Amino acid sequence: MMSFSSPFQCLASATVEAGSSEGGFLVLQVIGVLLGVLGLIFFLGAAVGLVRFPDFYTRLHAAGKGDTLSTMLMLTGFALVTMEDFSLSSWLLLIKIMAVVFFIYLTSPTSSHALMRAAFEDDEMPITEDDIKKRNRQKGGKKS
Amino acid sequence: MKWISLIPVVGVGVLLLFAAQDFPEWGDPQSPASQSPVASHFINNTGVDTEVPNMVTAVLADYRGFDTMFETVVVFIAGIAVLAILKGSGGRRRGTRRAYEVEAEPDIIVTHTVRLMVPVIQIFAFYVLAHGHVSPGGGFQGGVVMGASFILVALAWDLDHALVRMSLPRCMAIAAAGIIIYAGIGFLSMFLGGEFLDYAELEKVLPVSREMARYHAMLGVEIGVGFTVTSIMFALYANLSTEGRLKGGL
Amino acid sequence: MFEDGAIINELLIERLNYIIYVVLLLIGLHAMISKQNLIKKLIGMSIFQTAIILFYVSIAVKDNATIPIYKTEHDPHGDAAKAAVLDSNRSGEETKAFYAPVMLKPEETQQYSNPLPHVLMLTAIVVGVATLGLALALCLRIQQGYGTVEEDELLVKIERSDARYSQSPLAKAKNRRRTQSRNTRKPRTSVKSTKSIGKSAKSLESRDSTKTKKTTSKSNLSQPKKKPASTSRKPRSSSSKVEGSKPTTPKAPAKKASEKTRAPKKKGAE
Repeated sequence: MMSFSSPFQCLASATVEAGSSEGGFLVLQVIGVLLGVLGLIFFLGAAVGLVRFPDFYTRLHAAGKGDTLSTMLMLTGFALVTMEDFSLSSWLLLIKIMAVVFFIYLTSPTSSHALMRAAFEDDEMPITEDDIKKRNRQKGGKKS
Repeated sequence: MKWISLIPVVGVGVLLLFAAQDFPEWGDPQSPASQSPVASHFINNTGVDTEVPNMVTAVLADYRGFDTMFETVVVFIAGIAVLAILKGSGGRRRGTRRAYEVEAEPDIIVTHTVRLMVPVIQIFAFYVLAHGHVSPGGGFQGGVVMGASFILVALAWDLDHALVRMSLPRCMAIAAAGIIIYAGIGFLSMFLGGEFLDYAELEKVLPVSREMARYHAMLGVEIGVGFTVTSIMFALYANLSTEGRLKGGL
Repeated sequence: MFEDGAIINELLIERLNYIIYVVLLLIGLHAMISKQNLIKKLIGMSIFQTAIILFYVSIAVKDNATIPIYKTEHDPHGDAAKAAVLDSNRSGEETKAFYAPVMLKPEETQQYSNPLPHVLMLTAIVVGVATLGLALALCLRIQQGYGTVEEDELLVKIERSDARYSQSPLAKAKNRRRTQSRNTRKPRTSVKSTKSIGKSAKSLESRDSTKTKKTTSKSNLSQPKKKPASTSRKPRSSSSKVEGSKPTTPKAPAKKASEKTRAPKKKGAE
């Protein structure tokens, strides 16, 4: 019974020692950090889009896509960074993180789809160019 | 007059910040919480008394077993209370629907994803429950994950679809069974000559050592907790989302 | 400014977690005290609980320590410990008999954080979920009964329904007369209803009340016995009306009494 308990315990110790040990596979770490930075950039895009876009659908478009991609990229980068040596524990960690990535890949678009559909069934109309023109005209009228 | 509430709030805040200066620093190994004899006792003795490497589980289910038992009872009573409050209260007449309740077909994308996810979630729940002795996890966590899988079914299709699998009477029966399992293990160890919830006495019926008997008894206790939490979580959702009518729902 | 012992250093750098916990706790407390909406109060309660959990967990943090799960090499019952025993007496086959769990050394104990705060917070989270579910159910029930979860509207409505239970002396006197008439009517209606089947119950009731007003002296003996039953029955019929009505000042009981006295007159005139 203890034998299958050991991988996790190795894992726990590995995560603790990750900060202290200088070693590791440099190329993988560099790629992992790059992926993490890329994910952060996409996340920033998602956040900006959530604030800046005009109506519900475009906002969710930014949030759903950007959130999914950035989370996946960051988690993949994390998996690569923690890949210190190619031991059993680090492989297990990689598999676990990639499973999380897979489930986010499945569920996050589904959730944004469900949100979209709920909005559509609630007769939420997407904003059109006419609406924008009208709004601009109103703004201009107020200014002048 | 809302600003009046700011006076006690700010007062409490100043007091707490004043007290915060005397708290130990972040991660201080010399802090009272880390140096207390209780901490070292648990860290030293858990591995000796039991075969459970996860000290949190051991403390939760064994050293503080009585506390956890009544915690489970609290969850059970909360579920019963919600049933008692909402059941038959009616809310509004049957047949009338509110504006936000749209009669919608179950979405094909959502249902297919849920079909994929639910088995994984349920297996993960079992893993969290059963592997709670050697990794973070336990009955409460596994039970919540399990309950979430049923709630997911109710969300993706409708509540009836989930109630076919987990009807409310079945829910409450399972919840009661969980507590009976927990208390039964306690009484069994009492009848075998120990104290209530003294799991080590179970070695007389289990073909293992005293330490391993505690391990297995803890597993049984966690399963009981998992039963209760699963069914109460789902019962809470089913009652709160439909105002106790158990029809339609979100 | 950032030297040792300065207050900013004390609070903002070394004890930032406590600042966060205090701020969260104050947000929760403020929401619980000042918000009118019951649901917002519950949100405040949840934030308050989160603050407490953060406090406990941040106290349990320990530098250079891992989660309270034994590493393989430290587990007194683990494979490593058994292998060590096996190594020490290579000859003996019955290692199980020789094997005894060894306690951790003090420096090894230092590598684990205190498990107790984690256990306590697990308890707190579970109880928090239970209380939150119960509170939400109560809110739902209040919404069903009074049609609102805003505290100020709720207080008005509760006051009005309370006013119906405990009326002013003047209204009570009026009420008593009516309850008396109703008490005397009770046995009679059963007899009478057999006679006048075709008539509606209401007209029957009104006619009875006008008749029995003259003959109240007979029923005075039986009144104290039956009074509680009649008073307990009355508010229920009125409370069903409360739900739909808009909040107004608690003048309602007097109005209602006048309504009730007026109604039989009309019917009697007919």
